[in-house]
Amino acid sequence: MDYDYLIKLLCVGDSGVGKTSFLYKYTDGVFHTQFISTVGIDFREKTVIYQQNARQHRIHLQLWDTAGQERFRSLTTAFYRDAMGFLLLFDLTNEASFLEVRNWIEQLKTHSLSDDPDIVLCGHKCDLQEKRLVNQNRAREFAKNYNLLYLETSAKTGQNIDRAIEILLDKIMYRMETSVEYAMLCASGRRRQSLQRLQAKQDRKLCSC
Amino acid sequence: MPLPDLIKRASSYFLGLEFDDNEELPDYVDNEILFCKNNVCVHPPTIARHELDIVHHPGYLTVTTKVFTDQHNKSKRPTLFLNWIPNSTLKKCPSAVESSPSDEIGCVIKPTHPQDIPTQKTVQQKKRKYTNNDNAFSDSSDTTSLNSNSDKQSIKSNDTRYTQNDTTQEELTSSSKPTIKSADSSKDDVFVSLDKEESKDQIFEFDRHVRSQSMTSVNITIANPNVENVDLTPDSLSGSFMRSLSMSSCDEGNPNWMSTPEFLALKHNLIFPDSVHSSPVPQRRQPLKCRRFSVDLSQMRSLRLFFNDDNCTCGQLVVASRESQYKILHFHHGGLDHLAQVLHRWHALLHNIKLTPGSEEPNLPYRHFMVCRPEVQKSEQHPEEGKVPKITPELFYGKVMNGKGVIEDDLYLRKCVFFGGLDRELRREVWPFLLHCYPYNSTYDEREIILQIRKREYDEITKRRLEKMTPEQHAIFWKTVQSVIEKDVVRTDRGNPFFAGENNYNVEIMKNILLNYAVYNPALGYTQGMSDLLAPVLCEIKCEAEAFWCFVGLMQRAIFVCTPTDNDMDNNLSYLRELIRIMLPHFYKHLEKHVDAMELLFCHRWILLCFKREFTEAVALRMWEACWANYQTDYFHLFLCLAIIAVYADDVIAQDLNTDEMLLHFSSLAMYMDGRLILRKARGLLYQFRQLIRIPCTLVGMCQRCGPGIWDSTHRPSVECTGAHDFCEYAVQ
Repeated sequence: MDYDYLIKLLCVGDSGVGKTSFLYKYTDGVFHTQFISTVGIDFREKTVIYQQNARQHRIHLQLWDTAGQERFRSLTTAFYRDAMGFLLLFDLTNEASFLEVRNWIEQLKTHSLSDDPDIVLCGHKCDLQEKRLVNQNRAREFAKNYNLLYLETSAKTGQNIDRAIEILLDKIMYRMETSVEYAMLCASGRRRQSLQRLQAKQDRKLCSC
Repeated sequence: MPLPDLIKRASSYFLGLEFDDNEELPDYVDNEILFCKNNVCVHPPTIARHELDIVHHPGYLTVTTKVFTDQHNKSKRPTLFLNWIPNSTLKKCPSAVESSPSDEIGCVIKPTHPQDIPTQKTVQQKKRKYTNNDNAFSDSSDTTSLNSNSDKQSIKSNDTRYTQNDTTQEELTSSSKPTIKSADSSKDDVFVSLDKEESKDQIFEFDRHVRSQSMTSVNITIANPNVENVDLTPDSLSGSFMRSLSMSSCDEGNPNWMSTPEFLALKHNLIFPDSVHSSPVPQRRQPLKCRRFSVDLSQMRSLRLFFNDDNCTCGQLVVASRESQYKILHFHHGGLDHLAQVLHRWHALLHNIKLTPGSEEPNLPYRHFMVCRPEVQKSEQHPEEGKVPKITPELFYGKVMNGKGVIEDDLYLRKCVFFGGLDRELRREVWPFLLHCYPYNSTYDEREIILQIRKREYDEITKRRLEKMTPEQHAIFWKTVQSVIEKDVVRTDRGNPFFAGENNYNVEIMKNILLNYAVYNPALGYTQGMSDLLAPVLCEIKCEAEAFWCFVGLMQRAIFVCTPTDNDMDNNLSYLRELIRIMLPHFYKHLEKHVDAMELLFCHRWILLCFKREFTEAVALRMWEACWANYQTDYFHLFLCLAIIAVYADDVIAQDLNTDEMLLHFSSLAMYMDGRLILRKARGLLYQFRQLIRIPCTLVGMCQRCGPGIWDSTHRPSVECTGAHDFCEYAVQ
């Protein structure tokens, strides 16, 4: 695939919050009630068009999916390597998964290149209203404290699935635009590697200033 | 030329190693059918857990020559097209033809469906900030008339020899709607033949008939304003293929290149199982229809032929597009050898892109190559391969187990299981031995006693879990163990009838066993993946307590890695790295070139779940048993990893895939690898390893276990220090 940018996004959150379903819905538009637990790392991919200042970019999204309960150091390293943005999911019907969000944020800060990684917090499974245990205001309040964007999503209805990724992409593109010489970014697919490295470097620079 | 030589030569041709061969290209006519074969199967992407789950879609395969016109400079070059039409299409086509208006029979495809032509509107739609393909699949549930159109088209363009008018890409892009010029002089004949086809329902007949037809000229031009952006553009010059492409390109006004790879793959029937991108899902969408497809072979990234029978006639043709989408054609009824010969003979057509005048940098910076890998060569096999019987009930009760129920020669049993396998109905009986639930030399009566004791112990554990925990302990247990297990058991092997359905009690049993195991072995507790290992054992053993103790055997003895702590995994991976270094040096060099490739991430799940998600269940369990047999090694799973790499990594090296791409490559192969071949290869590799004169000190640990050790009395390799450790007893002072 030819594209202008390769962007690696990670989907994180506790086991069973619906990471695979979320990504599956996004890339394939399908929702399945029966998934099997993710072991190791899975990818999903999708190419989208991004309009920025009258310029269109072809963005190849690489969406990484991992087991919620990941104990392997080597996998974690690979998972976070060159990640540019994070979808942090919790299950609205499971309070424990919400309480874990704090830890996940710490994790992301530790592993990602930036001290202030781009994160979109998603309260997932919002179609299950009758089972909901985390109310919206509480989640909003929390997100506000951590300066995160918050959305309520559902893979079943598709609510906010695309939007969550669009918002995350906006943040990433904004960061890239402000941090990297624009011209240098217009790399062809073949130069994507260097682009990514460049971006990584720029990110590091950003944090140090 | 004998086939192995041919394959070797073909392989080197496609690897680009041997271009100085001056063999002249034979004369050919445009659109000449070089190869045709019926009943070549496509297995649509299902999550096949069992052999029976595989859905075979037989179809008709042709390889034809065709002139490709470069869109940029109108230069022409010949290329090869591979076309596949499902038999079902051939059958249903006549009625589709009959019901079509006459001018369509004349091959003018009207824009009857808005998505057929890119209109101004769709161009504008593209300008939306985001354009997604969420409806990719809804599209594939599709319009039947559209299908029949294209089916008809494909029959004409693929099966009938036809000449293509020299309509260039310029015309394609300038004419903003599809026009199909047809010099269809023999359309009536074609349809007569189709009718015959229907009545006889035999493709042979059809083929013969088609060959006797006069030529039919079909030329489809479909405008596509985005065409210059499309990677797959050259593909789209194929008549039928182009239609499908332009369909995809115009759905929702998305340009082609915006389609997700999955979407494109679906459209082109180039789809690999969904495990490419996600864990397999037990329940899928409606079974995918298998559609005809047509690809320009020169545009593909790789062509691979895998032979899986001794005569090298049957096997798989794997076509990988540049997006790493795969199409796999199964030759169950021979003919693959012939295809190898044809590709060998015509390889030049796939290699002439660079020669295209005027284009300095071919816009195709990839290699074509072909790895023709026949069956694991005799010389690569374990010498005892094929000579050791499978354990059948007759053999087991007649010879292996005596009247009192004692297995006197467990080595013989393990050897047979290792080489020949185990009859399915004996799993219930034999697994508890292999998993160390019972000693081999116990009698029926003794085992009865052992079972009673084990049941009591198990009940004790259950009691401990339910009654003896303090509230604090219980809270921690619930949070760290129970909540995770509860989430996992409901999504483990639910496709297996034993665990299927709502409120299945067996799921509850699985949960109890896992909870109890976490109590029994609190250091390990529960880690994701355990439920996957337990499920097949429980399914066979059925008795809860016995299944628990078998599971304990599975975990405790580290027969293969089941203790997913960093330590075990790291040990295994470092052994594997060393094995690769010694036995597959080319691949080791490849790993050295890429950042973090040495972490061998792609092997992670193989080892953790012992290949359960890489092969169909029948084959995976065969591998489990081979590992459990502990025959000659405790680390047979590593030799299985090595075998997968040995068989399937040529591609990785040739395409110079980086770390992430390797992960993608190997996860794409899940459920598509030939497990029996891998088993044979792994046994062969084990044999080769045992023949080594020297082994590095880093592998000594791997060889120490398994009773007296891996070496038999006749041979013991010397150990060399690699300098990897600070203090090594093998270091030369």
